[in-house]
Amino acid sequence: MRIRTFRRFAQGTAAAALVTLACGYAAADELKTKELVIVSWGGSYMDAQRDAYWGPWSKEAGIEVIEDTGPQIERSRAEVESGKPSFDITATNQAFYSIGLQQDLWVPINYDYFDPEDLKAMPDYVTKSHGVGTIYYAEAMAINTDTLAGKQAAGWGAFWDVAAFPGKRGLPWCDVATYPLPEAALLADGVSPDNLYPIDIDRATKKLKSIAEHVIWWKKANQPGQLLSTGEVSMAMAPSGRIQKLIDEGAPLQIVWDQGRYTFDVWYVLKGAANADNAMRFIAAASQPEAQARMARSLGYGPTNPRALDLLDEATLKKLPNHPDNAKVMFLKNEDWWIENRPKWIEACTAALL
Amino acid sequence: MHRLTRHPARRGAAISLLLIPAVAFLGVFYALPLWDVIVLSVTEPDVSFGNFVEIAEKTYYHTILFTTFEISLVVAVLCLLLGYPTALFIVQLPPQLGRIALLFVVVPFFTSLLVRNFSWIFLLGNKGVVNSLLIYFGLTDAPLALMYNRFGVLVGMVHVLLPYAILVIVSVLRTIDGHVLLAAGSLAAPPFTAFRRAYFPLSVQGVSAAFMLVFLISIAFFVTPAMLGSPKEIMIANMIASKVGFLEWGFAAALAVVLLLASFVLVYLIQRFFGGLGILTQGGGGERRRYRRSAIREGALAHAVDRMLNPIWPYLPPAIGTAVLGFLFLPVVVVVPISLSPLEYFVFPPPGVSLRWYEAYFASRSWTTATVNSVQVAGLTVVLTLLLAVPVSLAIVKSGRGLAAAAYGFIISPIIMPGIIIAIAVFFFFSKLGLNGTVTGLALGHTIGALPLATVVLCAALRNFDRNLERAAMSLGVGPFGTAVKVTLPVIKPAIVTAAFLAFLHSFDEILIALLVSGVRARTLPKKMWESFQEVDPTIAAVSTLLILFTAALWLASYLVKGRTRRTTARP
Repeated sequence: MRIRTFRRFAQGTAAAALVTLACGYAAADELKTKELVIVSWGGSYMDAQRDAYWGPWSKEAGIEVIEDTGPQIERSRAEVESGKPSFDITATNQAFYSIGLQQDLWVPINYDYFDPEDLKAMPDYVTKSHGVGTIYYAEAMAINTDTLAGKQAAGWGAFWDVAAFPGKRGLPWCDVATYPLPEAALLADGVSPDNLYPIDIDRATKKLKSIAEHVIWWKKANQPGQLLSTGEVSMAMAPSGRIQKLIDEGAPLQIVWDQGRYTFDVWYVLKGAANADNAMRFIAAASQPEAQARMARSLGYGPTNPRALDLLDEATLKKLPNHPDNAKVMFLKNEDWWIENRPKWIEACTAALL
Repeated sequence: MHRLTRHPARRGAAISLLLIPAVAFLGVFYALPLWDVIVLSVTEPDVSFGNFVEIAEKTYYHTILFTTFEISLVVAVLCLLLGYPTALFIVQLPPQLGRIALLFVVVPFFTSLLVRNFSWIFLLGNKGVVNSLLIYFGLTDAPLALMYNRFGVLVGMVHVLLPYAILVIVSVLRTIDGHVLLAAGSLAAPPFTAFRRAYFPLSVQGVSAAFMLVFLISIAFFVTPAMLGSPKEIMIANMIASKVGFLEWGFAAALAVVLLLASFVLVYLIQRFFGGLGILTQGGGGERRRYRRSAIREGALAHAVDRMLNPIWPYLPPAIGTAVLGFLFLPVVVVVPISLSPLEYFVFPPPGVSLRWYEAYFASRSWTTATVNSVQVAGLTVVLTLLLAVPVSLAIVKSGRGLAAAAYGFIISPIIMPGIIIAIAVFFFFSKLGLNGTVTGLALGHTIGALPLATVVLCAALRNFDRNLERAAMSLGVGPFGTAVKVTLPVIKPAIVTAAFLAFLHSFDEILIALLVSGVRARTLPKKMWESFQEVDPTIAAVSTLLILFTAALWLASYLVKGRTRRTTARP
């Protein structure tokens, strides 16, 4: 029996009541509160979010947006359990979303504020019960084009081939959330992308062990870009958005889309949030084609609303992970497998590599 | 006569009262909130000892726990071996040079841990400065693996913790009368023998405090090992942070309990083994023990060491001290140029010069507000910490043995408890009091971690303090509190300054409590620095450089002011 069940139940009921109320008010379109507190990662990503999503929306909706940083899931749980969360909404990777969902931390999404056209266009796996997809990105291989000058890598087989592609490798350590570590190992071992899931954990850890002596394991997402740009490693698994930003800044890097994994971040609203209704309005607005196109143009993150693709020029489209040319050489993350098996994987990986 | 016989008992009782503020503070703001989180270890995911059973069954947790203590011990020993000669070198310098040397010790504190961990790539990496020099001078053909292994972790951790060791030892050495060496020398003792027999025994308090402080802080380290090591250097605090991040709080709490208990057992064993080096078994009888120990040391081994070190001893502290100061300064050599880089990522040496990141800092209200918030929080933390630490240290050193040991153990425990666990506990507690998102709340939270640092420093200095001065004051009819204020405090002033400094910096660099507690309204500099998860913004290098310049300017200013007042007071 989980403790705090009663408190959660009480919070759940309260939140449900709030949402019901919100729906009632939605028709009249009266604001229940005048604020919305959004938490994100800060840095250039949050600047782009502001320009794309809430900058324009805040004026239009007459809602003051207050920003904070620190969307770590442990903070979200602490905020929800305190009963009076200090922020309303955040967007993170799906691992955090699903772990939080298992612990019942989020409010169900009210889709009434959505443009019906947007809802029709967005696939079901993007419009979740308690969250809505916001940006596509890839966790893919990236290489340093100085140290590997003249070499063309494609797929994880090349990553494992230290003879043909000299230099150290950068990989996320077992417990860095969401990265396709076992997927990459299996692909390198010859498994076809269609047969990745369910993942053969034993086979994946064996393959990882075979390259371990060449690997610098990174533990913070700000490391792979730095490791690559200094030439400390010649190839690394990295978040595509960060690598694109470094390329735009002139770093000698290249994203290898082949056999990368694409996935998306999710907006979700904290249980007990004071401005939950405004958060629902905001999510609907941030899912509109214009807003999503602005984000794609500034940082090269893919829109989750396919209608936004019509607004983008060819040069921008080519940078997006979910551009057909890029998407067809990648694979989509199977969230269900990961929700079910994450602890098992982390344990097997740690035990094998420590 | 009557007065003298009654006095000690009355003084003991009165002095024990001074334990109350600090113990009460930690009881309310640390122990009680922590209890709610610790309880999760047996209630989440279900009511059982399942978490502990899992830790007992899975051998890699034992490996990680062992690694944690192993690395911490090595780091503590290295910090002593390098820190003691450096401290000795600093106190023996003329005052002006001594101040400049101390500035070199203090400066690395102001380069944010985040920048420092990245700057090691440019020093120790394959294409880093060290490897380039080695290759240039033909000492090696291929770059040596200097990081992402045990060596890199030791370099990074020693760099972070060496200043603590040096500052603690310096503050104790400053209470020693340097004339003991002259006296020993005049009795024809060779230099190292004189140091070992006359001077070193008087500084044992500093050595033991520095050792324990570094050892305990190391135990809860996780960012530096994670960024500079390989999987073989993963420490237990990494595991705890990772489990907290997957919301397995029950398991994380169980790991924290195991860590705390194991640490206390280990500290106890170290004490038993080294006897007088211990910090918990303080109280009376210091002098007697000291004589006994130096008698034991007069064996063949001691004489062999004497013979080996006597000829070189006069040169050893200056040589080691200079090298250590250079080592401490190294990251500055990287951080300052990076702050002037025109590029958005860290490149060393930078391909050009630009003030872009300084403009970014001054143009952004969130950076400047964060700086103001951080200074306020740190200032308040210093005040709170000193108000609690000075009385409690007096009480610990002077009151009865058992009570003092218990209070001391309790007060230093927040150093070992991983920060994220304390942060969660404090957050829940503050949310009931409405203290989240306030400067006061943050300062209260930071005082939890600053208090033990200050207490360790102050206790070391007080134990070293010549009790005869107090006895003299008492015999002249000055009461115990009068003695404390008029005699004791002035003598341990260097230690109070050090304690205040460590409290300030603990707050100024603290990220985990800040992450949860600071909220929208009280964002601090570290929170601002760590916020973007994929990038390292060179603005951080600019902030670090500004802080270094500011510290240096302040140091210089205080020196000029002091110089002037000394001159004016000397004149009449």
